[in-house]
Order: sequence, then structure tokens, then C-alpha cells
Amino acid sequence: MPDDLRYFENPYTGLLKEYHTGGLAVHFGAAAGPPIDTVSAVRLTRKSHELSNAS
Amino acid sequence: MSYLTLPDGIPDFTKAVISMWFRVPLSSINAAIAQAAADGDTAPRLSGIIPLLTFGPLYEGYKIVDSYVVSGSYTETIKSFDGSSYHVVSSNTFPYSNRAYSVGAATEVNPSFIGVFCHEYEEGVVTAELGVRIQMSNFGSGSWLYMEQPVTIGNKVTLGTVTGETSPPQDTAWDYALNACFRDGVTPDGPWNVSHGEVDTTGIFAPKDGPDAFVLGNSIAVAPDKWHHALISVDLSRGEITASGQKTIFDYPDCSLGDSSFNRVIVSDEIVLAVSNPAKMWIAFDDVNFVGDGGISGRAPFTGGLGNNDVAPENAYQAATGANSTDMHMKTWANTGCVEMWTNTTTFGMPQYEYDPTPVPAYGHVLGIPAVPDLLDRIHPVEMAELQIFTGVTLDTSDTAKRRAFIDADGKPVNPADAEALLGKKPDVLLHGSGNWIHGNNTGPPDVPDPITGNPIPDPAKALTPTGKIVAYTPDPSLGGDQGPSPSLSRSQAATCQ
Repeated sequence: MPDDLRYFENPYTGLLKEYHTGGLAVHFGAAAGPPIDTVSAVRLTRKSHELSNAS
Repeated sequence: MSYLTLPDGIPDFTKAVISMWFRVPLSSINAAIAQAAADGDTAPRLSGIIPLLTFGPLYEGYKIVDSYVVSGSYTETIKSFDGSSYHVVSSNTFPYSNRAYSVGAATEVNPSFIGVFCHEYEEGVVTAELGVRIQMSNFGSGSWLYMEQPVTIGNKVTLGTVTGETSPPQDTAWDYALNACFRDGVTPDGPWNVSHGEVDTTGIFAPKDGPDAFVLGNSIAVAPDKWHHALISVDLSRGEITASGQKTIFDYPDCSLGDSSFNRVIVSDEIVLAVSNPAKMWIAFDDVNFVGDGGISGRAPFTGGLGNNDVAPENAYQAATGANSTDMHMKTWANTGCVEMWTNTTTFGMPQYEYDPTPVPAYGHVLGIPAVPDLLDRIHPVEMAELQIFTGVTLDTSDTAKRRAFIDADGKPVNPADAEALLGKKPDVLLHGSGNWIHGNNTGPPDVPDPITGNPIPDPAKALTPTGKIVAYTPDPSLGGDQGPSPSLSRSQAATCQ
């Protein structure tokens, strides 16, 4: 679950639903950049590096 | 270009409600215009259109090749008369042709889409308009919606010079050159018969653009570099749509000497000129329910049976505005010495079209945001937010209270749970929050338990697949708030957009 979501109670159904507290919009663009899965991989690598440093 | 795909698409539907926020940069509008210019006559899918959402099959149509085929010949003879007999002065044979139609090269048919039509009707004047298309899978049927009237030309015999004291036979007909009913000599083997038959060409013309479709046929201006909210609903569940036009038979009674005019009279006139039982489409744009001159179809009130929210396939519009007519016969002077008898058969029908909507084909076909991968080269940079797609329900966007389930009075998005509560069902697609957009998290369908933690998570089977770089964008959508950066106004200053 993204960090910018929290739960709220739907007043009509009583069900808990996620409610967005952060940004709503995205840009689909031509800007050069890696595909999103590569971005994730980069982040994982960075985290691994941080973990490596921590150890 | 980046995009999101939902591999299996959404369920087939006859009713739907779609709510989305979007923002189209002027640079994208200019790029789409330039791309359409480069497309030329090739007419690929989404030419000149910035897609925001596409779904359903990619059908093909076909071009129609017309050619003139020699279907006969006639002889044109000039005779003289010496008081007792006729002599051939000249005789020439002329072929004549009629048009024939055949199926030509395949053409591309747009899928269902919501997008922005971009035009530059004159240098430096850019227009952008909302486009909505619901592409169906089946064809309607019609008759005499398109027709051809092949001609048959008989031999022509003209009386030339006349000598001697005995007069040749005479005939009486209207002479347009003299603008009077005129009597003059002719040959005994006149008059010159020219007749038209009829061929119903609906079978080749009506299906040429692929299966039937429902489109927004009117203009809703989309200002560049500003957030817009589109709330769209369709109801295609109302059963068969029919449309009929007009069939009129005229005649020109033979004139008599002394007549001052040569008037056409109506022999019969069947008039329907209406669409019956049209489908429905509602659109609110930027929180304003669309009530345009001509309505959603762009055809009302010029087409019978269509109100503001009524829509029908293009062929139905054609039938409802089509008028087949003919003159039964007309007797005039082709030239001095030759009377032309113009006759037409009258056994053609009035234009008719019937279309019975089946569910919109969507399931099993990739849904793409802004477009499917097959149309990758048609994607232009856009900003989007708060997409909700509900199938199986409709919404009358003229009801302000119902619009408030999507957009508040300040022109900002509302909690998507409000729409769910209003419509009484979960959305098939809900992309809410930039994080979910970026990761393709579809939080519309019911959550499923996380296999590891047991906590409810969005159903992975309903998730969208992100490709390319999708990045968070600020400011958030609003009609009146910060709209984000505007590019150079070098062209937008002349734009006709609102």
C-alpha cells in the first residue's frame, strides 16, 4: 500500500476504504527514463546498498 | 511513451459511467496536429487525436473503389427530310458508362476511446475538442441508404434540315431554351429515350467503416494546459434503434402549347426523417452538463427523434436525413428536332437502417491509458488523475447532485467512495492517487487478502501494468486552482480553445 494512503470509513457502506492524502495526478510523457520496473530495481539496489552499509 | 494496460480489459457492457481528470499540454496538441498532417491520407487510427483511454478491438474497414464501366452504347443520327423521305446526314455511336463499386484496401477503425481531437483549420489557429467513441462489434442493416441510378440511353435521332412542302411529324414538349411549351418537327423514330434504373448500394457502403459506433458528435472545447474533468455515461441497453428517411416521387406532366410554366408535381411523398429509440449518452465537462446546439449527436434538432442526449450510429443518422427521390418522367426538347423522354423507375425504397446494440466489446481486449501498446505511436504527453470506470450503471450528468459524487462545487475531485455509494457498485477501474497510478494499482474491484499478511490488498489480477516512465505531477487537478506551467503562448494566443 503506498504511503500516501490512509483508511477512512465509507459513510454509505460502513466499509473501510483507502483515502488518498498525497498527490493525485501523474504525467504520461515522452521524457526519457527507465521503465517503472527498472526504477523499482534501482530502488531495491539502493536499499540493498544501505543494508550492506548497515551491516 | 509511457502507458498503463489492463490486459483483460473491463467487462463487456451496455451501460457505463467514466470519470476522469486530464490535462493536455499545448505542445501535445501541436504534436498531434503535426502527426495528422504527416499521416496524410493514410488515416491511421487516432490520427490527430490525443488518446486518454482506449479499449476494445481494433477493427478494420475498407475503402470503396468506384470505377466507370461501359454498360452500353447508343447511336446519334441526324436525318434530313425532303418532303417525302428521310436521309441520313450523319450517324455516330457513343458508348456510355455507369459506376460500379468494389471493396478496396483495408482501412483502420478507431477503437473505443476518450481523447482530444486536435485541429489546425487555419495557420496558427489551434483547436482541441473532446472526443468520445464507443466502438461496437456488430453491424446494423439497412436498405436504400445508399443507391445508384444506372442510366440506359436509347438511340437518338434528330431531324435536321427540312425541305419540300410536306411537313414531317411533329411533337410537343417543354423547351428550356425558349422557356415555353414548343411544337416542332421530329423524325418518326423519335423520341430519344433516356431512363434510369436503381441499385441499392447500402450493402457495400454502410459497413465500410467497420461495425457501428456511437460517438460524441458535437464540439466541446478543451483548453490546453488546464485541468479538465470529464464525466461520461452511456446507455446502449434500450434495444433496437431504427431510422427512416424520405421517399418522394415527382413527375412532370407533359406540357400543352400556351403553358407558361413547366412545373414538377409530387406524386407521392413518404416522410419519416427520424431516428426511433436512440441510445443515450451524457457528458458533463468541467462540471457543466453538455447541452449543445445539436446535442450530444450534433444532429438534433436537425434530425427527427433526437434529443440532447440521444445518439445513434452514423448510418442511422444518414438514414434519418436521407431523401431518395426521382422524377417519373419528363418530356423536353433535347435539341431542335429531337424530343427527349426522360423516365425513371420508382421501385426503390426509402432510406432505412436498423441497429440492435450488443454489449460493447471490452473484455478480453487490452485497455490502455492513454492508449494500448498497438497505438503506442499515438500517445502524447498528458497528465491524468482520478480515473473511475463503472460498468452496468448510468448517470444523468444534468443532475448536479449526482455530479457532486465526482467533483465538488469548488471544482475539485471528491472522495471516490462517493461515486461508489451513488452508483451502488464498485468501479471496475479506480486509479486514485499518483502512487496507485504509477504502480498500476487498481483499487476499484474488491480487495483480496494478501497471501502473506492476510491484510486486504488490491486484487493483483485486476492490476494494470505500467510501462515507461509514469511520474507524479503537481498541481493536483482542479478547475479553478493552480493549473501548472503553461508553455509558450506563441500559438495558444490564437487558439480558439476556451
